[in-house]
Amino acid sequence: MKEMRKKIEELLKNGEIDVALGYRENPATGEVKADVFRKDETLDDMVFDERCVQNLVNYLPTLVARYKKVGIVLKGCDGRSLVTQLVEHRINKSQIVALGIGCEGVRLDGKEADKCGDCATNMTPIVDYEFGEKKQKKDPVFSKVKEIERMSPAERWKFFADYFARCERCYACRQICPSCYCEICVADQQEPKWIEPSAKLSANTMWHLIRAYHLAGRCADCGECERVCPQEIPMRLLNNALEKAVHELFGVRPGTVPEEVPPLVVLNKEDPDTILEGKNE
Amino acid sequence: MQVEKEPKILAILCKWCSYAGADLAGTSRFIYPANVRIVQVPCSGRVDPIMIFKAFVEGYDGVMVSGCHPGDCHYGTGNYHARRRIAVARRLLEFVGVHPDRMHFTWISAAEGKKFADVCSRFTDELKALSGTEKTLARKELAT
Repeated sequence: MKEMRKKIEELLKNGEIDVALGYRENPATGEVKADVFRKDETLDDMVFDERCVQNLVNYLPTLVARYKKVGIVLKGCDGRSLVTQLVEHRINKSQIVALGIGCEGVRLDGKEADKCGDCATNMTPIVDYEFGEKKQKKDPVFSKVKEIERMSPAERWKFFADYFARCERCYACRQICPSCYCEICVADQQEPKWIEPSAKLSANTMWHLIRAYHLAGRCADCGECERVCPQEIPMRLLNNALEKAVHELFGVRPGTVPEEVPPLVVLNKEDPDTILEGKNE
Repeated sequence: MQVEKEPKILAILCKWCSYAGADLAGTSRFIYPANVRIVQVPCSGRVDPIMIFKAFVEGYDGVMVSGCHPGDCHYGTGNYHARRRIAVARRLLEFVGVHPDRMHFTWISAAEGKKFADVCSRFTDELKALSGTEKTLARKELAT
């Protein structure tokens, strides 16, 4: 952490970056929040530890619009998120300096965050300066997804319907997601109106299905949607199910390989027809 | 009295092959069940999975999507895109509890009127066999 702080100070001072995006600790309350660090301030309150849950890539599009060069502190999962943003040309790599830090896992509500159990890499795939310890890449286990897959269709629907019914359609999951950035979201679209705006089970089902589907092959599992959900709907389950499906079908793990195009925007004539078959038949 | 409900099937067919195939089934007088409601799309690449989701939410018992055989797409590559999208959408629907037999994806060319009729009959039979199981996803007021 000390090295990183020194490096950022140096980068800010010699003008290589205009601002740095990192985590700031409020000394009075001990809270850690995402913040922008500028040239003429001390970086003493910049921290990186298990409290740094937020995905900083969320703030990047606004910052690169305002500044020429932005430094960003990246955990492994945030780095994957950044890869998807770069591939989709939302952010230009020349405008950012990626400061990767070996993440040791983050904590949420006093326990290790769920997403850390399925962590694919603790170091960002795109990195200009590397700090901390890099761990061996591993394959996510998706134990919860597998648990659901063992249920019968009716049981699964009961499980999800209970959660979907709770949704109040605040769209916090959409607003927080770095990959949800359509100018007009399909949920806001009036003509044709695919998804009713009212918070009822049928409309909520439509919303959650389409949200998950639009992230298939793009979601880097940063877990922000689930974190901000006021009703604690397990959206990571849907995301992970699709991450698993995309890996099984096309062998792609979103965000882990820089410049890999999302599997659903390219075609492969060699895809076997068997991918269209049901899995549990 | 319990009345046996006929399953409702939504068939999304591409204009150039499968719809023409359905047409041929008609002109050739092949018999297939009247449970199928057909939606014509310009290409199977037009099929947005949201259409499939909506069909289930609106209470359809089964959804069938069909396009030109791989390599025969009128627009070159539409059906390759469709194959990827539908494969993923299918996994998602299965994951939230739609029975895998309620979805059917196939390729039907304009010359395969017989195949269209066969696929429809087989799919209808499969859905009738599922009539005891819950119609997941369907809106409460429509569920039977």
